[in-house]
Amino acid sequence: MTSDRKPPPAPPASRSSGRRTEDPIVMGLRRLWSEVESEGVPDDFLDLLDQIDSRRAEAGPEDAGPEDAGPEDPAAAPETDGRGRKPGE
Amino acid sequence: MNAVTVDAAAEAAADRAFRSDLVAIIPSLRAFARGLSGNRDLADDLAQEALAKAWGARASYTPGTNFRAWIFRILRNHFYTTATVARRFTSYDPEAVERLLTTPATQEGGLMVEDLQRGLLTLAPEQREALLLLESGLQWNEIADVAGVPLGTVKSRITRGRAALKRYMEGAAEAGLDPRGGPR
Repeated sequence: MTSDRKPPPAPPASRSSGRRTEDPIVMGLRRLWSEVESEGVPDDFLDLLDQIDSRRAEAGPEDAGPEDAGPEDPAAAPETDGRGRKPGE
Repeated sequence: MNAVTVDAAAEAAADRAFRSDLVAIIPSLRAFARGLSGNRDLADDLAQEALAKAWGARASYTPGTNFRAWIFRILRNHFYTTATVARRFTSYDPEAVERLLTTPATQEGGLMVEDLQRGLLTLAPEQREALLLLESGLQWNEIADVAGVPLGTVKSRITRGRAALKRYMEGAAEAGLDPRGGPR
């Protein structure tokens, strides 16, 4: 169940209050994270990327940005294309 | 035009590299979004929106810099500024939280993880986010960068977030309560 990603954090300085990896909270958070990470990626995600690709191909290189959102402009409408639905059951 | 062709080729190569970065980050994006929102479907929507935004904004990403931090920032900004999401999920509504928890309990530690997720949702969003980002493998200074706050603030959020989470877990254990109403 553990993925092979690099071990978490390696806290730079000291993890303040002397909490260590056996801290159940820290362990629990790690587990919470890794459980989701190790789930299979729903097809929707790859479909989304494929759609972006094909839209881009249609638009041509001069019009590469299908989205109007900038990185600092998160409020822009998330027009993923309306397919950003939940993974099929 | 010639220049356009050359540019286009270079751009296509860069796009391919960027795209594979996106693919590789999907599991982490999902984990971050899940932790933030506490809900699988909503989280996946969030993660997909972040992907689309990242793609749209790829010109602003500097190759070689921290891609993970960059895209996490997009996701969290989107999370905070999407009004409906913010209202529904950053406010304190334990009942809504319970309804939304969809992860089935597993025998071994499953409840613990569920409780933690529930506890996470009771934290101030900025504490929740800091704890999750730490779990994502980011260093404290990178978390500060993602959240746009000083390093000291991040440390404090992590410390307080953990403490609050601990209190929540202890409280739940002491009360012997199972928020889902099933056997403990």
